[in-house]
Amino acid sequence: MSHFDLEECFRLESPIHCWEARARVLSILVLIFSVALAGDIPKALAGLAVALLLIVISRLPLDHVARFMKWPALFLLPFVIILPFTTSGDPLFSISAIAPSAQGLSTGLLFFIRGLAAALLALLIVATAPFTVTIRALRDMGLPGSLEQIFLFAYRYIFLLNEELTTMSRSMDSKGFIKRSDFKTARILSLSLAMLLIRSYERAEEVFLAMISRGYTGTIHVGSRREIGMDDILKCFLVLSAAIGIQAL
Amino acid sequence: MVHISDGVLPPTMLAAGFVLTAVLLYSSLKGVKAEEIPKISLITAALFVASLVHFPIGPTSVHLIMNGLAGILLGRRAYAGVFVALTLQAVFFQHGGITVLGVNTFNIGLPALLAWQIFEHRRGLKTPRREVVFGGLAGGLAVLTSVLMVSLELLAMGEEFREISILVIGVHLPVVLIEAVVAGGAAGLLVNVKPEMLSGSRNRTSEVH
Repeated sequence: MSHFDLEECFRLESPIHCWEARARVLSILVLIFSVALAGDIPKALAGLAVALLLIVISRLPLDHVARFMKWPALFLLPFVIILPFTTSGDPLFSISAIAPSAQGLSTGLLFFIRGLAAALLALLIVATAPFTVTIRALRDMGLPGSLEQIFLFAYRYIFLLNEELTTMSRSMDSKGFIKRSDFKTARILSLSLAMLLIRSYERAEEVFLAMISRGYTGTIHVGSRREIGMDDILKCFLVLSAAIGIQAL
Repeated sequence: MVHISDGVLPPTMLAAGFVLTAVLLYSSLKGVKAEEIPKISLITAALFVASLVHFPIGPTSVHLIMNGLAGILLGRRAYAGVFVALTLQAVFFQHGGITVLGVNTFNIGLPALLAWQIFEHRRGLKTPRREVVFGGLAGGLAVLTSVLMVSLELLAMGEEFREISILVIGVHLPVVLIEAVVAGGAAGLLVNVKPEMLSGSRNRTSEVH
């Protein structure tokens, strides 16, 4: 499964998938902020445990979830590696002049755990419902109409551009183009990206004109939303309690 | 690393980022017309997809940021494009994060606006290659500004972040050069083939109404 095949996960059935969209998005957003602002490692670990529990409940394939976590882990790892050597404090061990500090390691690990837990929860928002449903929920919670439309159009164009990019890369490969660390590669990439933009722009224009001819005036009507039930409120209560609990630990 | 991850910045910085982004988003989308939405969305999607394009640097590779090109193409609407692209990257790629969305949008979106202003000055240069020159300048300086902003924010967290700030600058210096070439080349081609796509040019779709 690639990053563009998240829609496969929408078909899964779980208590998170059937949670009303507004309640789900708002509760998980609050939990993300609580986890990302956890003040110490025990609190951050509690946040990570809650995030993992929600992932398990959502029945998302764990190997795919692990693949999605590659980037945050890669971005956060430098803090764990570098901070022990740049932060003053009690040395963990000492080999000649090298003495990593416990305080530095603690800060690095705190960033790492908080970041990973927040990334897991962000994935949970988009992997448990179609993107249009999530954006509609945000619109109901005050997202401006213009931003809602940019989100919806951009989401669709991503698939279009990715398809075009794949075709273009294949075509360049078949003509013997090899990426090197040189000016020529950068120049060829610039022309390819510009051509990609032009082709997609022309298609976007055609789609826009077709939409106007079908009565588009600047608003998109997405399907009706369902009412919030008692089970949705109960799930909100549990997740928000966890968010408060992490801060109160 | 030009996208700061969740869990790193203190609450005060996160709050400041959201406030600044809210103000700039409002200004970016003020008076937006329905016919502008497809173009903004397209460039937004391109920003997202650009992060899939890797450029080899010795044994490793870097990915493009393209905030300069976004400014060149979208003008002041670029800030909204950057916001949407970063939100999509945060939830679909786990690049950046939800709580740092305000800060990351500010770090990448403000330089996009700077790129737009630099590119606007091309009209003063009387040479057929002015789009390439100013496109390159705008593309390179936008990434450089983003990198410096991220470094300064990390540095503001304490002396212990000095080495990481330097690392962020060092890692991105090649990206500055690559983006300058890519943005300059793309602007040069666009002005010849599809000039209405550049910021400030008349959008053909606006003639529909």
